[in-house]
Parts: sequence; C-alpha cells; structure tokens
Amino acid sequence: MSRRSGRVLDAYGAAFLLLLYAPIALILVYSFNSNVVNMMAWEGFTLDWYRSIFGLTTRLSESQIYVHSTEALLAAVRHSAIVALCASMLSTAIGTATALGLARHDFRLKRVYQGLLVLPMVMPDIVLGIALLIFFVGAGFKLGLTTIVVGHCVFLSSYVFVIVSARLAGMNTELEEASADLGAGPWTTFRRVTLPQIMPGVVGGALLAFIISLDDLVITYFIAGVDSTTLPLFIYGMLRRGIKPEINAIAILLLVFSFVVAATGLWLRSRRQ
Amino acid sequence: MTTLAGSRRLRLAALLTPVTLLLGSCFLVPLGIMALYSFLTPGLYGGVEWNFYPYNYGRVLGAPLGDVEDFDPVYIEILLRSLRLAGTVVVLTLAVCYPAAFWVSRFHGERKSFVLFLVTLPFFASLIIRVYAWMLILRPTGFLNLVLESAGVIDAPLQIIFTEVSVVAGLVYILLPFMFLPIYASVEKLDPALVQASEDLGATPWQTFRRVVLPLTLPGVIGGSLIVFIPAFGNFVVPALLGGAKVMLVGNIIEQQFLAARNWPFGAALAMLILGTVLVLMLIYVLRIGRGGVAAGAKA
Amino acid sequence: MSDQTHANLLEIGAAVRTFRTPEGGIVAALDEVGLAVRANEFLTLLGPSGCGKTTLLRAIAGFEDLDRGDIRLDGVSLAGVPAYRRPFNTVFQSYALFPHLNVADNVGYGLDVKQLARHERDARVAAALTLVGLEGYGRRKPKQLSGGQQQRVALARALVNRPRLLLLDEPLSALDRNLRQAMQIELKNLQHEVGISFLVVTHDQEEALVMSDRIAVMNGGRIQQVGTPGEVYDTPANRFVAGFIGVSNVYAGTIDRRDGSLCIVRTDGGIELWARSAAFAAGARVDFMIRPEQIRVDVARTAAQAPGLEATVERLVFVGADLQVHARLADGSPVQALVRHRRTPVEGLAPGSAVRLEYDPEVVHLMAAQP
Repeated sequence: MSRRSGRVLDAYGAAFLLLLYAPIALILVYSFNSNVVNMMAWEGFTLDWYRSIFGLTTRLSESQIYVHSTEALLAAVRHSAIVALCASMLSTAIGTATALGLARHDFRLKRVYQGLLVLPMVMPDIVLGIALLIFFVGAGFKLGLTTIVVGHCVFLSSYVFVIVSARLAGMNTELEEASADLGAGPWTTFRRVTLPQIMPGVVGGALLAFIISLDDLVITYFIAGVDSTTLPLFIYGMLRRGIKPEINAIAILLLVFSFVVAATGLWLRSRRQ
Repeated sequence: MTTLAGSRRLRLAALLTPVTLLLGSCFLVPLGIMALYSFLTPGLYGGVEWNFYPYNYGRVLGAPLGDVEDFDPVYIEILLRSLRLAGTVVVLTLAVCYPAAFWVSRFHGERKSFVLFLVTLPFFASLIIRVYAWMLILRPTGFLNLVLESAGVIDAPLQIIFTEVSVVAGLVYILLPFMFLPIYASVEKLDPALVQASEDLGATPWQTFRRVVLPLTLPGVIGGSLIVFIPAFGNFVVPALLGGAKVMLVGNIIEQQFLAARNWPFGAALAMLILGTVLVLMLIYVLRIGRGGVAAGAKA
Repeated sequence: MSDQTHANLLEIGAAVRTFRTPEGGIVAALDEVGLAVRANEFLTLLGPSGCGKTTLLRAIAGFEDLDRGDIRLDGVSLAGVPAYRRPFNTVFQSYALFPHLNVADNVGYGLDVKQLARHERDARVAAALTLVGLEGYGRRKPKQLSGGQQQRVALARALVNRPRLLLLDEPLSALDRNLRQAMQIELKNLQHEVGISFLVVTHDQEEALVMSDRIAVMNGGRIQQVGTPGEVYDTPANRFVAGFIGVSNVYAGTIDRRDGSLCIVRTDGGIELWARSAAFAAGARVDFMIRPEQIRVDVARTAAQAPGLEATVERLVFVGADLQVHARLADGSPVQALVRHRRTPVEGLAPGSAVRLEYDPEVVHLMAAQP
C-alpha cells in the first residue's frame, strides 16, 4: 500500500474513532455545564448535576431538579444490580454447563442444541420480549425482578455458551484424560484441570452477561412489573418526558461503570495462556 | 454393567438439563404460545377469546390475501418503511465499517490490541445512553443546530429529529459494532500474500479488490449485514426517541398493541411477521454461507 | 508377582471395537485382539497408523469401551472400571502437561488427588524428578521446558504413582532424531530400574527393535505376531511382518519337492529357491523371505558353492556404511542385497551388470502364505 493511501486510511480511522466517541464526549461535557436555563450553552463548570442525583445540596432550585426522588433512582439502580448479578451468575452456570456438554460429547441432537442456542441471540429483542410477556402473564407469574432474571437468562446463556465454547475448543482434550489417568474422578478433573483452563472464558462470559443484562431495555420493558423498574427503563422514562441536565450526569456514571466492567472483561480475554 | 460410555451419557444429561429446561420452558413454549395467540380473537379490555381468528394477519396483509374487511394499508406501509430503513442502516454501517476494518488490521502487536479495544469499547456503553447522545445532537436546540447557526450556515434550526434521517442516524450509531466485528474478523484472516500475488500477476488495485479482497471478506460482510438488519428491523426504542409519532416502525406498533391498545393477538401477529422475516433471512444465510458464522460473528 | 495363579499381569481376550466412519461404513479398530502383558517387561505395540494400536492402548487406560471381549488385570475384569480407578498411568503423545501447574505440581497431581500426606508427596515428587534427571526444575512451568524435558516430566508424572503398568503413546515421536535415539536407551534403562511393565505404542520399527523385550506387531485391527525383536526380525509370521520390520525380499511360491529337510520352492515367476524348513509339505503355498544382508553378491560369477540366483543390477544406492544393490531376477521380480561398503568401487558392479546372488538355505525363512 502506498504511503499516501496509508495516510488517507489513517485520517479515515481518526474520523471513525471521532464518530464513535464524540457523541459520548458531548454528554460528558454537558454533564458539567452549570447553565440551568439552556443546557446546550456552556456557562461554567459545576458538579451540581452529580450532587443532585444523590440528593445532596446544590445551588439548583426545586423546579430545576428533574429527579424529584433520589429514592426512585436508587431503587432502579438496586433493581438493575440485583437483576444483572443474578442473571449473569445463573446464565454463566447454565451456559458453561452447556458448553462443556456440547464440546466433550458427540450425540445425535448436538446440531439441534447448537442451532437452538444461536436463536435467542439473533432473534429481535421485541419478539422475545412479547413472547415472554404473554407466557408469564398467561402462566400467572407476577411480573417483577424474578421474571426479568429468568427472561435475561434465556438469551444471556447463549452468549456465555459461545465464549466458553471458544475457550474449550482451544483446550487440549488430552489434559482431561491425563487427569483421569492420574486418578482424578470427573469432578476433581473439572475443578483442577478443566475449570482453570477455561476460567478466562467463564469470567469473560460472566462479565459480558452482566453488562448486557445491565443494559437491556427492550426485553425488560415488556416483562418488568410496576415496582421493578430497572435503570435503563428509568432513563427511558425520563427521556420520554423531556431532556433535563441530570440525565447527563446519570449517563456518565453508568458509562464509567460499564466501561470499567467491559475493560476488565476485554483484558481477561486478551490474556492467553 | 456400567460402561464408560454409559457414565458419560449420564454426565451429558446432567450438563444439558438446565439449558433444556430453560430454553424449553422459557423460549420455545413462549414462542409457541405467541404463535397461537396470533390466531386468536382479541377480547375486550385486553385478553383473548379462544377461537380461530385469521384477521389479525388480515389487518396487515388483507388486500394481498383477498380479504379487505378490516384491512388497513397503513400497516403494510409501516412494514415496508421498517424494511427500507433497516436496509438503509445496513448499507450505511457497511460503508462506514468496511474501510475502518482495514484501518485497524494495519496495526501490529500492542497498538493493534489498543486500537481494537478503542473500537470495541463504545459497544459496551448503555444503548439508551448512546441513543440519548443523538437526541442531544439532533434536536432543534441541539449541538448540530448550535454549530451550524453559530457558523452562519443556517438562520433557523433545522428540523432533523423526528424524521427518518434521525432514526437512521441513531440506528447506525448503535449498530456500528455489530457490523464492524464480523467484517474485521474476515479482514484479519485475509492473507496479505494473496494481495501481493494478485498485484504480482498484473492486477490493478481495483481488480485486486474486486477479484481477491472482496470475495474473501464477503462472509464477514454478509454476516455483519444480517446481524445489523435484524435488530434494526424490529427496533422500537430508537424510533420512539428519535422518530416520535412521525416515524413509526413495526416495533412501535407492536409496543402499542401490548401496552396501550391491549390487542395482544394483533401484536403477536405483527411479531410473527418480524420473526418470519428474520427466520427466512437466517435460513438463506445458513444454506448459502454455511454453519457457525452467525454464532462466531455475534458479540463473541 | 503377588498372585501366582496368573502368570500374566494383564490379559486382553478377544477384544473387538468398531467405529462408524463419516461415510457410514463400519471399521474394526480392534478385531478379536488377544494379548498378554507379563510382569516387568517392555512390550511394544508396533504397527502403521490406523492399525488399532492406539485404540487398544486407550481401551487399556480406560478411555474407550470395548464392544466385545475383556481386559483382565491379575485375572479380574476391568469392564466398567473408569480410567481414574485403574492402576495404570499414561504418557501421552502430546505429553498433556497441565499448563496452569508448575512441574512439581504436575508430577504431584496424581498424589494430590489421592490426598497423600504433604511430606510424603513432596519426597516422592523430588525422587521422581531425580529419576528423570530434572532435579531443581520443580518450580518451572511446562512451557519453559524443551520438548525432551517435557517428555521427562510426563514420565515422572506417570511413574510417581507407581502404576502396575505404564502406557506410552508414541512417546518419542515429538522429539528430534538424536534425542529420540538417546531416549530409546534411556527408556529401556528406566524400565529396568523401576521394575514396572511398559506398554509402548509406536509406528517406528527401529524404536521397537531397540527398546523392547517383546514386540506385538499389529495391522488391520489384528495382532500379526508377538515375539522378541530377534524373533519378529528373523522369523516373521507373515509377509506383512516381514515387510514392516526391516527390509526383506519376499517371493510367493509353492513347495515343489522336499529333499530331507531341504525344501525346494518354485516361485510364481518360475524361479527355484532352496530353504531349510520342516514346517511345510510338498504342494504347500509359502512366502519365501530373505534379508538383503543375507545375500552375497558374486560379481565374478565363480562356480556355485551355495545356491544362487542370476540377476541384473539396476541401481546402486550409497547409504554410508553399506551399499544397497537393487537388482532384478530372471523373472523380473525385484531383489535387494547389501554390500559392506568399500572405499574403492567394487569392480564389475555397475548398473546393467549381471551378477550372481548367493544365499545360505539355512538362514532363509519360509512363511505360510496368507489367503
């Protein structure tokens, strides 16, 4: 490739990164803007929006604060945390067990399982969301955190399955035979040989499941109950009613948190044996 | 007598029981019930009556089916608009990501990991917040109008939000990573020696691209197009926030049927149409391109 | 031996194992295989790839079921006993060292899962590492070791458990040639030192000849012959064994007549050959075998003392210590002879020259022809 076309490509790459990050950076800038009348016009630096969402004292008047109840916001955060933790742990267990089963055994229905596991990932969220809604309501379940956790597990298990399977595929199967040969039973072999080998995949899968669960809006939208609003639902509700500056601060806090979790996951995945 | 194969079968059953129960009871059964619902009579105040009722589909596809009683062409219009916008989103994400994949693939070692990390990271940013960023940019008092006005390009704010343009912009932004990763995976696999061989054999850069690079990266392009098209087609969050009441997509109609109009059978029928479209596309993909590509191309 | 009623350590009886091929056919990896492993012997399973030797090893280790037949340890069947309850240990072809454990923890793995006391475990690990010449390497990770060192760790990891039988799957195939030859001797010495039976799978006949007390030659899922290296080399059971171990000239023919213990064989090409054997009657179909080094090349074609054959030289191949003479007999069948290499060219020995090939009927070998 010639030097000039290389430079053109580099300029393009820079523009690409700008496209990815500029919208997010915009939120970051506005989250510190002290202009209470027009949030788009920069006036000065303030942390008041961050303070207001935690219910701390600010210079802002009552009418300027959109999150009237810090409790509602904190409840949404709590719901999201509970759902993401439970759903990611459950789906990690289920997805890992499935990956082990399909990677280490040959049986007639293997292809059926493999196909079935792809479906929840590629199906439009809204279809899965309403199917679960009809099912939960029809079966008489009360919509709430439990239904959200179960609903999330349906598609998160597939993500964990894909990541752990990739890790298992790269593992020498003779290691497990060597362990059995040296006197270790199936459980000991799993705990002392297989699990340490696939651990980066399991942790990476769990983190990915956690992030996707934390971020899920569409499926949760249909299967959440009135008193189980999660953070994305809370933000969606705020946005439907109009844009207020506190949203910037909430958005940035959420972004920082997701980026830290994602960076940890990506780092773990890049670490190879 | 217990055989080794016997105890292995037992272990396999234990490993697959959880996923079988989960996907059986909370995936296949719900999809089956949804399919059933789409053929039931909508009851008053939500709910259903248990008799066969094909008119949920008739409302959407009535004229083509020869049934014009409660047919309303607005639903076909919305379906076609959803298809058109999803197609536009695929073309735009492809145009943005294809060169970007080549850009990233030119780095080496640590720098490549870092650039790849930078490209992947926004993918993990909350979807609702990424949509919100575009509300900030596109609304009448938003960043874009602010910049254009202060630069003197326009006098009055442009009405961009609540148009198809804003919906497409939002969808493109949130779906970029879905297109980037599969394309990047196939670009990474492309052996530079093949490009050199083509040049060595006298092909111009365009011929090399047309005859070597494009065919070899096509699986990534097709895989990426599929996994961008599917969520774009059924999306209701982006049109709700960036399209308002003006740019309704099929996802918004479904949402209304479930949470406002309380006509679940009609909503289920619309969802079945989305699902049918997606399954047909998937089937074509699997039959033409081969297996495993979708799973590998998805977020892994 | 603790139990005198069973002379053999391990007995395999009529073992059958079939696999389904992707095309839908059925292949017998093991076809009525019977084999006995004696106490404190070095037994090699030798055969080409796909002959079933690895399947047999894996069945003994407990990684595969048999369709029929049984495997008995001290006369007791091992059917249904999982690998982790069998007192055998395996040295894997890939070594299969645990990459997340250091050398000492790899070697101590089998002792750890048996929950041996710490001090005994450490002492046995140290002794095992000393045995294979790796004292002081305990804290290294497997990937920091060379191929030969990894091989030794794999050996130590298996031997530290004091197995009744050590199974080795192509143990030397991953090593380069020089190291492989050194390890052949070393493995043999090690077996002698620890007094444990070794069962080695290999496709390398030279390796088998160097290391083994006995060799079991396998082909097509069947045992072809079991015997000492000398037996399988000098008196192969059939054409396959003769061809697989060393170089041989084999001619199919019929016993034409007998003269005392001397058999006169007429080959299918019409050539008369002599062999000393009492095993065959006139009219029997046989394969006549003679090794190249048992043939003397008589360039001068002097008067015959020993039986001889007229041949035309086709090609001379210099292989260092020796000179291979590739020639053709009167009926066109190929023959190979070996001449101890001389510094000066042998006069009259050149492609195209006619020679007389002499042999001693006492050393040639007759085998029953296979159907």
